Amino acid sequence: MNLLKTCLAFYLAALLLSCASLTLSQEAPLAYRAKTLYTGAGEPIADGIVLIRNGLITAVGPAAQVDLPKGTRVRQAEVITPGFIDPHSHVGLFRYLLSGYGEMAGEGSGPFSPEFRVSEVFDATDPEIAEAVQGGVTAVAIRPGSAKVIAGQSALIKMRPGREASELIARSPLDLKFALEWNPLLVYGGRRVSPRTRMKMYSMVREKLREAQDYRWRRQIRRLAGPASGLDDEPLFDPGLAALERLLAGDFPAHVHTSRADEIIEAMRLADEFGFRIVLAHAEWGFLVADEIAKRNVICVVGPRLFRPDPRTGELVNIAAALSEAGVKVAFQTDHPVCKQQHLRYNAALAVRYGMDPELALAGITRVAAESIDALDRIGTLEVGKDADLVLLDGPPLEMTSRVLATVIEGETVYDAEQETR
Amino acid sequence: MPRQRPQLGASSWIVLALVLLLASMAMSTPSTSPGDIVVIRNGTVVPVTSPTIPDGVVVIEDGRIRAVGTADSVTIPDGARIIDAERGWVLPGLVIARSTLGLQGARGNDVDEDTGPLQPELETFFAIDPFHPDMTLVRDEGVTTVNVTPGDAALVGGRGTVIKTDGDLIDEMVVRRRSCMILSLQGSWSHLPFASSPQQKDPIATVRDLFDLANRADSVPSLEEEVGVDVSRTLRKEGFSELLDGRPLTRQDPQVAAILPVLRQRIPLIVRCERRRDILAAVRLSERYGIRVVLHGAADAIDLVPMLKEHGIGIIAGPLHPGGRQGEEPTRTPQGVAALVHAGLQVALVADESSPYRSASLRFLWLDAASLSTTGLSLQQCLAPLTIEPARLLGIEDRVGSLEPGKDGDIVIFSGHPFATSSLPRRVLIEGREVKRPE
Repeated sequence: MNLLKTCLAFYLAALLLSCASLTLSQEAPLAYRAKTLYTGAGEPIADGIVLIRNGLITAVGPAAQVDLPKGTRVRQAEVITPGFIDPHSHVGLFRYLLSGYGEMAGEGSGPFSPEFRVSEVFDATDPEIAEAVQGGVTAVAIRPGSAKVIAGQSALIKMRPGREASELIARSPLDLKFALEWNPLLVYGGRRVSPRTRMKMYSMVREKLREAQDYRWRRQIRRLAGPASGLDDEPLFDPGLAALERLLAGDFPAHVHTSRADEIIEAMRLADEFGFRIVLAHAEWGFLVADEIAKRNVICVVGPRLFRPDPRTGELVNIAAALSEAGVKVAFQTDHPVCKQQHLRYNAALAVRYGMDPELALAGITRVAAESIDALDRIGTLEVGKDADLVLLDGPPLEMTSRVLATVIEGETVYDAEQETR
Repeated sequence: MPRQRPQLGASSWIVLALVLLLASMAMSTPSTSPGDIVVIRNGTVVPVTSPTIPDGVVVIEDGRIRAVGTADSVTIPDGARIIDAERGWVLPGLVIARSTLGLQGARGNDVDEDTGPLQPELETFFAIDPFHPDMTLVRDEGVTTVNVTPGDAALVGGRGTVIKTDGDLIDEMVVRRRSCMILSLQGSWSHLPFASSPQQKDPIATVRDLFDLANRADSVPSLEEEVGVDVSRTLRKEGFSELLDGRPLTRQDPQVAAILPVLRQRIPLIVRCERRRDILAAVRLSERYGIRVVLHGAADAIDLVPMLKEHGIGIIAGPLHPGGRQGEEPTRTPQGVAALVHAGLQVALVADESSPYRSASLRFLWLDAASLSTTGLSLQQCLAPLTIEPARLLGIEDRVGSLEPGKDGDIVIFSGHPFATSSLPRRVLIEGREVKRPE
């Protein structure tokens, strides 16, 4: 009898223990409370709170209206914003800046490499990642360089220092990187290889896209009609054309490096002609044709150069402000290492200093930045169901007197100023 | 089109709004809207294709010339905007047969794709920078229509585009998107890197091969033809009509597609050449393929006038102003050009863009016309190579090149004689818009 009792007691104890360990494995709920909470979806909330569970946002709203489960750990801050997002960076790809260029240029293998994926060469040990989170940067679109007309597939990276590359890569392919401007002309034309002129560049990129159209149609028809299609065998899988096929199918946008106003017009013409979505990177002289960009609702990812002279008056123009005043959606980029990854917020602040609306500028490193890389479903605003990526500050986000107190990625504190100084 | 020019440091919306308002008042050019009438009066009107009118009037409605005549014969419509020429000279804007305007930018040189001998598929249309500083520079000196072409480095250099020199968007500036094809028998292509390739043979034979290929490959089977009627019917039933309509599955070779308009006489072939041998080769190409040929340079043309006349081949001559390529070649002297004009050939004049001035030298062409007058040519004859003749060579004489009813209101107003050394245009109009006016 005693034995039975003992056994039962052991059994119950084991059961209890296993239950306890089960609850322990469930993360305790976390909440962040701010005097001003910028959610990016609607007006800022006074005394707002964000509730997090398993790395996702489970509730957001005024503190009075959000029920906190028992045992919720709450951290307070003056200001909380969505994590800052850089839609155009080369972090983890340029560890050794000088030798990096060859790598980015794809070893000069020709002006087209749509099959190239930066996710395959991304270096998660880049020390810039740990620095970036000190600036509140939580997510970054890493891209091939601008040496090629179609350089390859970009990836979305979460800035979690000390983790494996596979844990950092949140989405790949994210979009296709194009450069329809001077850079490929310098790289290839400089070697007396096509394209040397814009004329040739546009002719070559059209031919490449026609090839992809052809590939897409042949595969579709073959799939639909089988051998009865009368077409030869289905074209062999081609990773480059397959990436372009996805672009043409609308799976992701083209992220197009442009500078001059006419380059912007031609990039948009190309997208219209072949029916793909585009986002304009840099768009330095975009202010000259801002109405055309606004008409097509194309996002401009401005930076790191924020000011350019109007060629007709010589006056220096605040690119981001001029574009947004014309109704263009504007995001900011560091183009790291051109401008350090950490300084994304600084770029937005500079645009504000010279006339840009501060709320639009904040959107430019949060909501619009996410939209520009098709990632608004996961990041960019503080809304239920999205990744818990946020920044705690001790003042208004675009005042450079404000310090980043902590950076949170998917509920994990990846930077904490208090711990740093302790 | 008024453009917003936000100012750095504009701290409030009111300041910004005021600045923008002032800027737009100062910067904007009056645009024409339907029913807009502009009248130029009190000047000597030079229509070029008809005699000069001492006290003339030009009426422009909706950007086009409605009437040209003497002050007594033309009634000035009510509500018209009057421009007083102040007893100056009223002429058509200059038309340039060939230039690289807008292609020689600070960020890249888009003139010469010298990476291979055959570049017919290229189009300057895509590469022209409307904000190039030379654009306003030459426009303010009366150059209103320009055929922007690739350079001469490749054997077949690509297609030109005719533009007006005013606008922010190429689509708004373009007069004819594909205006001509450039063939260079004079270029430096023979020592380009492709010299060792199998392409390196008789350049004329290479061109003929390209033309023959285009003639053969004229038609491309549609997707429907390729998959057959049965399959196409099934595909249509399945709702995939859009796959079959207007999308040829077999892609036409872009070089072939580019050459076809030349072979069908829709656009001229501009042949850069100097020596007798190359001129004769160009004439033979025109005979063999029945294409329209215009010679550019053509130093030896003087000796071949009857033959060129017989084949209706025009000549792009000049420059007459000092420059790197001028030399003593006959087609770069006033006497030589006058001889071609007297012989009844169609002659256009171009600038020397190999000089350090590049396309900015287009504005010197008024003095080239002036120097032609020393040979005894009339005012009209001196202006024709910069107005109506290039317009005819490019097939755009229905729009530009003279002051005639129905043509675009592209007008230059001088206070003094247009050939006087220090005469500069006071006003310039493009399609009735005053793009330059006195300060």
